[in-house]
Amino acid sequence: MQASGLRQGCVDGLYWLLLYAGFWALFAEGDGWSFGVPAVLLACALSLWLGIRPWRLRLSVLPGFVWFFLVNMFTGAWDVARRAAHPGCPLQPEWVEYPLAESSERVRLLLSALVGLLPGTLASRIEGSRMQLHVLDGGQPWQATVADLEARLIRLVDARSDH
Amino acid sequence: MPEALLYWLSWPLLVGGLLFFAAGSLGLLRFPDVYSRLHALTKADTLGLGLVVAGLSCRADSLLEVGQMLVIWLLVLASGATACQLLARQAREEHGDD
Repeated sequence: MQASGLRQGCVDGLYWLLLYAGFWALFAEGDGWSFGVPAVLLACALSLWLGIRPWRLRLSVLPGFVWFFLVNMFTGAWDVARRAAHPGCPLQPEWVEYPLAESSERVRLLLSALVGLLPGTLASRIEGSRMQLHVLDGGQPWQATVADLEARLIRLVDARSDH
Repeated sequence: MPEALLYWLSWPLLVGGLLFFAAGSLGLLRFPDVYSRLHALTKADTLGLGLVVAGLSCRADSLLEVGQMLVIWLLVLASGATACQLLARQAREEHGDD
């Protein structure tokens, strides 16, 4: 059991190492490794210390997800820009609860972060299986969009990447 | 020819990005409470930066530059979405629902 845990740690460590080294190589254009190597190792150690597991995404679902997300992000930003520019636009902020589907911690974490970029919604915290949401306009049909994002995230994030 | 086309295409993207930045700031000033202001900043600024990145990508000299800007946008998107949620949580614990 311990040996498999160690092996998993090594695989995870290698994943983070390659990812962060890739970021450094991209941003520093392959230069400055005297500062880059310690930074990459530090980031890698932090990820392992926090116990973050590498992501496994179903790549076949990814294009549909990206398109869905971009369209909704545009709608959300347009909606909020319109309300900011026209003082006459209705604004009925209120707190609501969204019942979460049975899903992994990782999906819930992603959902609560990404829901803030959807039209009119903003998550504050998750209590049990309910997510506290702030909505800009209680009359907006926010439930359908949040449920759609949740279903797409469940399909996108491979359950094997959880413990 | 494609270079000229991309150059002209970059203008509406850049101007659109700046307009969304301005709208986010306007929301920050006009909206009534801290949560509504967070909506404005997170959503409008993330899209604003995305459009600016798209506009600058049209003028980039190499794919490396495009990749750099794309990754910067994704990292800002991720940190913005996370920070916004943490601020909302903290504000609600301190001030309640108003």
